[in-house]
Amino acid sequence: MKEKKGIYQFIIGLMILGIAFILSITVGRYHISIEDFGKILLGRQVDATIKMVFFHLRLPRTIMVILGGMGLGIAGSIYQMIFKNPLATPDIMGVSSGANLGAAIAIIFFTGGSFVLGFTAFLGGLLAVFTAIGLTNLSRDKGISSIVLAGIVITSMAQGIIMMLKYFADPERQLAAIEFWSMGSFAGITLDKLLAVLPFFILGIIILFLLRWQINILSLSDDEGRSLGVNVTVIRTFAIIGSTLVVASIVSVTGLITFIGLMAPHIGRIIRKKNDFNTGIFSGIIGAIILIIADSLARSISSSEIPISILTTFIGAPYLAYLIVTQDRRL
Amino acid sequence: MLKVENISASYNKEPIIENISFDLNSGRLLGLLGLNGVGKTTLLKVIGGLLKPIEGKVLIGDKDILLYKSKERARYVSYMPQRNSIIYNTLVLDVVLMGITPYLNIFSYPTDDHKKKAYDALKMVNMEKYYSNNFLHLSEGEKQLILIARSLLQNSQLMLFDEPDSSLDFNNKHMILSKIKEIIKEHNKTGIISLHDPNMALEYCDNIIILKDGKLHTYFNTGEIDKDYISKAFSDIYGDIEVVEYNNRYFILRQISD
Amino acid sequence: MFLTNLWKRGIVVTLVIALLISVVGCTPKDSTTVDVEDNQEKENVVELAEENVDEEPVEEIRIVDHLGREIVLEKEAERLVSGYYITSSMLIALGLKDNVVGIEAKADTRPIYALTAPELLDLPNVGTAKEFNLEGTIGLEPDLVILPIRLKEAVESLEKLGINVIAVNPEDMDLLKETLAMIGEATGTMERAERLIAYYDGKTEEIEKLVADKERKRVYLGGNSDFLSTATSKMYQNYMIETAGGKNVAGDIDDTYWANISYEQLIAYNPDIIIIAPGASYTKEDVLNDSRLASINAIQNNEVYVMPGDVESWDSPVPSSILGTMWLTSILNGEDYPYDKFVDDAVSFYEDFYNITIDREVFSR
Repeated sequence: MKEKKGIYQFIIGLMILGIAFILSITVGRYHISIEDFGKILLGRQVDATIKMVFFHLRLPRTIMVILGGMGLGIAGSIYQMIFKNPLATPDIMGVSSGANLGAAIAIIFFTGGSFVLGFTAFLGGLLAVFTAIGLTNLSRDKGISSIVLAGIVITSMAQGIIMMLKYFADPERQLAAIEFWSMGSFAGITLDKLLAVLPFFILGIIILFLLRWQINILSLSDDEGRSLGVNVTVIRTFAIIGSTLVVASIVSVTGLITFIGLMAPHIGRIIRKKNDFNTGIFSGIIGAIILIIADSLARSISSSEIPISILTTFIGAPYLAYLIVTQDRRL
Repeated sequence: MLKVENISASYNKEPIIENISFDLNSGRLLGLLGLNGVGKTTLLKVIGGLLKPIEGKVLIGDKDILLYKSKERARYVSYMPQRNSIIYNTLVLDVVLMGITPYLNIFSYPTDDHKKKAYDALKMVNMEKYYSNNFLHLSEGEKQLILIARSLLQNSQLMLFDEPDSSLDFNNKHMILSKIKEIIKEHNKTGIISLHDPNMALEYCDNIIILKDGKLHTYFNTGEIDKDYISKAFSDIYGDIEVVEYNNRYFILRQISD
Repeated sequence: MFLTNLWKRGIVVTLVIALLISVVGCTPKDSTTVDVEDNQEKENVVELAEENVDEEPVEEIRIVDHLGREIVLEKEAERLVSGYYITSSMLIALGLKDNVVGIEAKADTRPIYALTAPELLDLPNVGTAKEFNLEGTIGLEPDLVILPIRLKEAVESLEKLGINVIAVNPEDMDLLKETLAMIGEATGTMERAERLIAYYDGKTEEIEKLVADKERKRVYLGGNSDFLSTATSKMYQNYMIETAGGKNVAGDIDDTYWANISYEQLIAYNPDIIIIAPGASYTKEDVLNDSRLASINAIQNNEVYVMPGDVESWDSPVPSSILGTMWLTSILNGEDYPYDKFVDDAVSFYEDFYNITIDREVFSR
C-alpha cells in the first residue's frame, strides 16, 4: 500500500514537471505561435529563425533547467545523506566557490568567451573538491569533521582569491561579469553548451546511481556503516566525486544557483516521509519543478533577464517555511 | 570460535585497553562490565574490526579479523552501536534491509527477495506490523528491536551489542536482553554485550568479563561461581557491595552506610 | 553594485596614474610650453586671475556642487586633487594638468593620461572609492579636491578638516556640462570650459538637426563584459544612441545599469545595427560568427561596429564623450555625416582641447 503511494508521488511529480516543461517551452522573448509549435512538433517546415530559436535556444535552455534542478536536487540530497546533516549542500566541499574562482580567472585573464569560462569554472569546481578530498586524506581520522573542515579551508581560500581578483578587476567590465556570474542565469544556454556539459552530468549521475545503496548506508555513522561492510571512506569519496561532476557541469554554464540543493531534498523528504535513493530522485524532480518555474519567470517578467538565484530563493524559501510550520519537523 | 589475543588499543597515545585475551564459544553470550571509560566500547570496536589494535589479534574461526575484506568481515561480525545514527525519515523495513549490505555487490540494490528476508527478520523480533512505519517515530525500545533485526539479517556468527539497554525503561531493558539471549541460543550465535548493570549481566549472560583500568580484571562463567566469588570480583570495581541470593539467582546490592 | 563598480574604476585610474607618473618623471617641459603657446587665451586668463588675487583678495568664488553644498574659495584653486577619472580628464582638457597634485587609483588603465599627460601617472594616488586615502589627500595640501558624489563620506571628512571639496555627478550630458562649469569657475579656467561647453552645444544641435527627419535605425549596444548585457533607458549610452538618431532596442528596459538579456530577446529585438562597447571582452568576429544570431538584420547586413576606445571610452560621460555621439551619427547617418568627416572632427577635437595629435588610424568603426 505504501509502495503504491510512493509511485503516485512520482507520477504526480512528473506530471507537474511535464506541465511546467510545456508551459516553459511556450514562454520566451521571441514569439512563437501555437501554429508554429504544432508545425515543429509534427516536423513540418517552419521559418528558419523560429526553428533555430526553438532547437538551439529555447529547448536546450529548458532541458538545461530541468537537468540543473534535478542535478542540484539529487546532489543536495546525497550531500545531506553523507554529511548526516540536513543543512549540508554541495557547496560544503567548495564546488561552487571553486567554480566561481575558475569563472573569475577566465573573466579576468582569458578572452575566450563563454566556452573558456565554462571550462575553467568546471575545472575550478573539480579542483576545489579534489583538493578538499586530498586534504581530508592527509588528516588522521578522515571522518566527516575533517571533510567539513577541509571544505571550509578550500572555500575560504577560493573566496579570498576571488576577493583579490575582484579588487583588481576592472569594475565596469570584469567585476560586473563576476558579480552576474555569481547570481546565475540560463540566458546564455545554447545547444552547444548543453551538449558540452551533458557527458559529465551523465557520468556523475551514473556514478551516483551505481552507488545508490551504498550511499544510503553513508547516512549512518561511520562505525555503523563499516560494521555493515561498507568501505565508508572510499564510497564517500566517489559519492562526492559523482555529485561534484553533476554540480560542476551545471554551474559551469549557469553560474551559481542557490537554494535548490538545500531546499529540494527537504521538500522531497517531507513529502515522501522516507529517505532513500528514490527520495533523492524525487528531490531532483522537485528541484527541476522549482527551477523551471523560476526560470520561466526570470525570462518573462521583463526584457532583461533576472538572475535565477534571486528567484529560486523567493520561490523556495516561503514554501519551505510553510512545510516547516505545518508538517512534521523531523527531517 | 572467537579468540582475542593480547589486545591493546588506543585512539591517541594513551592506551585505553591493554593486553586483553579471552576465548568465547558459539551459543554463548558474554557480558562486558566495567565503569565508564574503562574501554568497553573500544574493546567491542577492536573485536568488530572497526578499530585497529596497537598490539594483539582478534581471530574469528582461526582467521585474523583484519585480514578480511570489509564486506566479508561484515558477514562474520555485526555491531550494534550504543546510539543508532538514523536522523532522516526512514521506513522500518528499509532500516532492517541495510543488514543485507554485506551480501550485495557494490553496485547493486536489494531485491524483493531481500525485502522478504528483512520482513522475516522483523518477525523474529515480533515487529513485523511496524514494517512500513517511520523508524524515527518508534520508541527507543522498538528502535533497538529493529536494529537487532538488522543484525539478524546480516546473519553474522559474532554479534556485538554496545549497551543496548542504555536508554530503555525497566521493562524494555529486560525485553531487549531476553530477546538477545533468545537469539543467541536459538541460532547458536556468539554474542558480546557491554552493560552497566551487573545484575542484568548476571541474569542474562553466560560469561562475564570485568574490565578495570583498561585491563581484564575477571573472566568467569556465570554458571560456575558462587556468592563469594561474585562478591570478591565485583567489589574491586563497585566498592562496598553485598551479594544476595534469591531463587538461585544472585543480586548485587549497594551497601548503605548509616 | 553600480556604486562599487564606479569606485573600483576610480581606484584603477588612480593606480595607473601613479605608475605612469613615476615612470615618466618631469620631462614634459616642452609640452607645457606648447600648451601655453597654443592657448594664449588661457594663459592670459591665468595671469589675470593671479593679478586679481594680488590686488583685490576680497573677491570670493562661490560654487554649489552636485550634493547641493556651497563651497566658498578665497582665490582660484591651484593645487588640485581629482578622485574621479572623468574630472581628471576634464582637468587635462582645461589645461590644468600641471596643477594636478593627486589623482584617482588605477589611472594606468585609461589611455588618455599616457597620451596627453603622462606626468599625471607619476602623481600620488588618492585611492579608490572603496578605500579613499584621506590622509594621503590631506598630505598633498590641495586647494581643491574634486570627488564623485558617491564619495560623500570622504567629502564630509575633508570638509571637516577645512579642505575645499566639490562633489560632482557627471552622469549625463547636462551634468557633465555643469561639472565643467563648476571646475572652470573654481580654477579660473571658465573661458576654456565655456569653449568646450559651446562645442558640445554646437555639435549636439548640429546632429539633432541632421537626424531630425531621418528614419531611426534600431540599435543594439553590446556591453563590454558580455555581448548579452545591454544599455538600458536611463544610461548615458541610451542618450547617445537617441541623440545620434538611432533607437535603442533595449530602451524599454527602465533601468540605470546594464541589463542581461537572452539570445531569444536579442533575436526578437532584431536590431538593424549592432554596436559593441569600447574595450569589450569579445570581438566583432565573435558576434558575426555566432550562428544563433544569424537571422538578425544587423548580422545579415554586416552592420556590426566596435566603438573605438583607444583614447577614451566615449560611452561614459568623459569630456570627449561628444565624440561617441558623433561617431554613432556617422554610423547611423553616414550619408549626411560621413565617417571621414567624423575622423577630421575627432582629430581636431583632441588638438583643440588636449593638445595632442591623434593618428587617424586610431579611430575605427
